[in-house]
This record gives sequence, structure tokens and C-alpha cells, in this order.
Amino acid sequence: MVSRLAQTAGCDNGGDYGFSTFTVNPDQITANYVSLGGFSDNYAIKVPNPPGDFSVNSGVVSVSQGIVGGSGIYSSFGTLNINSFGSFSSSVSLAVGSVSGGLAGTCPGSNCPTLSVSPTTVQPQADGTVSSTLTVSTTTGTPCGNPQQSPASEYSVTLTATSGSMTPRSLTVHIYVYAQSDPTKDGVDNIVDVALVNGLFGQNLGAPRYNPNIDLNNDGRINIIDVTIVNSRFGTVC
Amino acid sequence: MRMKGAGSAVAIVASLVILSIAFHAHATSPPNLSMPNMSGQCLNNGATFVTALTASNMTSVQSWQLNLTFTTGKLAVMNYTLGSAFNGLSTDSTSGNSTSTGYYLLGFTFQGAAGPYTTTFPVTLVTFTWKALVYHPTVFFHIVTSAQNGLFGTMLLDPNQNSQSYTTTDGFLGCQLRPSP
Repeated sequence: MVSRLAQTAGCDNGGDYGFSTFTVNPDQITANYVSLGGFSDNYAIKVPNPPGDFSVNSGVVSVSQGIVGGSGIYSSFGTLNINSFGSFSSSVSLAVGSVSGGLAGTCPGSNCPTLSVSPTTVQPQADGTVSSTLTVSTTTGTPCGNPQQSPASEYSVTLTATSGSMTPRSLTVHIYVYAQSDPTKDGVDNIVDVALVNGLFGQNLGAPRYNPNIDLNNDGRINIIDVTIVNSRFGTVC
Repeated sequence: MRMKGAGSAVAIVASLVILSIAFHAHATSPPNLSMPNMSGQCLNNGATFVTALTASNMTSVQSWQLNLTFTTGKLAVMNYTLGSAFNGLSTDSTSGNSTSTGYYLLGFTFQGAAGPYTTTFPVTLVTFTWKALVYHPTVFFHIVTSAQNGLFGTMLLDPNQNSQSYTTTDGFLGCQLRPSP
């Protein structure tokens, strides 16, 4: 960003015909001509705005093993944002690349997470943002873990956004896969996970204390099934 | 008479100060988790025995996790029984153990609106039943702290899953006196 400044330029034509003072700001250059003969004039040199452009961004998508759907931590859903700048409002096509990462031999393979995006074509309003939903699917055999502790447990996928003849934009989305029994997402199932589930035991969807993040199987009920899930893996590392 | 009254007042104030200090020390001292010292106990191979793990001065404990390790090759894990304060309705416990690697990991929590638990008296968290695998076993029991194992160490949690501080006293079993650490 160019800040506003004033500058006296050397348009003196030998010193007899006057000079111009220039004021520069991000949008235009304004000059004020001062004549030694007693008159002045103003004129502006306008710089056109750059052409419209867009960007894409997304956060980390956290999913659990073998769960599809729901609205909690284990929702399988992420959001891809397409942002317009400079009145850009053209159609943008989204394409998903192949998933990589995970323990050796996981990707490509039957336990590698799969990703889809919907809708695949979006059109942001000028200077606005439009979103598309990323859906990640895993199997119960997809290797999981806390990427902060075990970097190999991180997956990634490259998304490409294209609009007309513009240079395609690429975005790498990071995917973290946690155990179904690990609502704290620290890579282990310990008493904190057990306490969280049991603390909300009996809370159903719509109840004031219901928390979809603790509803481990995403069935709208925090019940003995969730307790069993978290108890069955107590003491394990994922 | 006036002197007598003043003396009584001083005595009362002094008593209150002492009581206050004692109460303060008691109220702020963290719980101590303790395994027994069974020095001088000579067990035959195959004998079963129990050890109680106790805690003192628990305040607002909603859940706890206990990580106990023991000398391998001397004992076999049999089972455990929660203390009476922790085996009622609306509770949940889960465990994992290994005789070969010598550990017992136990988790307990109150469910739903039940709990938390507060007491100023010593209370039994759990009673373990063991079986001697050798003649006159010598066994060290160690309570693994959360400082030693951040995620699977022993924890006392309040209703918001915040860890509380505590101290530990390890246990011992053997014919001889417990060696100095």
C-alpha cells in the first residue's frame, strides 16, 4: 500500500516556466502546476485498479475413524472458502487431487481417506465469499493419531480452483484423523475422554447440555454406546 | 480480675490462630495417594492377597485415573474392586492391566449429575487382588504420576476435567524391611 505523500517534482523546464507539485495516493496521482507567470492548473493521472482476483482457503479438517456424517468434531465436514477481490465475480471450478500422507502404505489404498467437494462450481459475489463443503470419509482401519505427536498421522490433499484463463489457485488441505474414542484429540484415550463422555451421559440431541463433539457415534444420544466406545479403548494410543 | 480477663482473651485469640493455621494447612494440603508398606510379609507361591490404594483429603474429585506399576515376574493381577465411595450408581470405571509388563491402569468417573466427591478422611479408591507367583516375593508398587507420564499418569480431575495436584506414597511387599529409596 502506498501511503499518501507530497512531493515537488522537477518539471521546471529550465526554471522559467514553473513547476508541478505531485500528491501520490494509492488510487491516483494528482499534480498541481504552478506557473511563474501567474496561473496554475490541476490535472490528475489516474491509475486503474488491478483486475479482479480470488483466493481460496480452508482450515484443518478433523475427522474420526469410520464415521461419516453428523455435526460434531467427527463430522467429516470441512469448509472451503472462495474469496473475491476487486469485484471478481466469475465462476470458479473446484477439483480435488489425491490424498497423501499417513503411515507408509496407507495412501493410496483402501484405508486412505477420500475427499469430495460440493458444489464443484461456485460463483462468489463481488468482494464476497462463497463456500463449498469438503466431505472426508475414512474407514475403521484408517491410521489415526495426533499430528502434533506423530506427524506421520497427518494427511493432506491439494485442491485446485480454476476460473477462465486465470492461473489456477492451489490449496493444500490438512486432514487429521483421530480415534473415535478421543474427543479431546490428544492422540490417546484416557480418563479425560472417559470423564467427558460420562459427564454428559443421558444428554440427547436438543437437550441443553448435549454436545455433538461428545456424541462419539453421532446418533444424537450420549448413552451407553458412547461410554462403551470410550471405555473399550481406554489406555490406548492412536 | 481485669488481668484474668485479658489473659483469657489472649488465650482465645491464640487458640483461634492455631486452629486457623491447622485448618488452613489441612484444607490446602493436596491429596496423598498411598499404597501400603507390607514389609515383613512372607507369602508362599500361589497365595492371594489384597492391597488397598487410599487417598486422603480429596476435594471435588469427579474422575480419577490411576497408573500403578509393579515388579514383574512376582505377582499376577487378579481383579480390582472400587472403594465403597466409588462403586454406586451413576459411576463408570474401566481398566487395563498386564501381569507380564507390570502395570495397572484404572479409570473412574461419576456419570451425569453424580459427584463430585469430597472428603477430609482417608478413603479407599480401589482394592487390588494379587496372586504371588514366587516364594517370598519382593515387590515394589509405584504410583506413576502425571509428571512422569502426562497422558497416562495418575490424575485427579475436577468436574471440568482440570487436573488436581496430589502427592504419592509408593508401596512395598516383602519378607524384609523396605529398602530406603
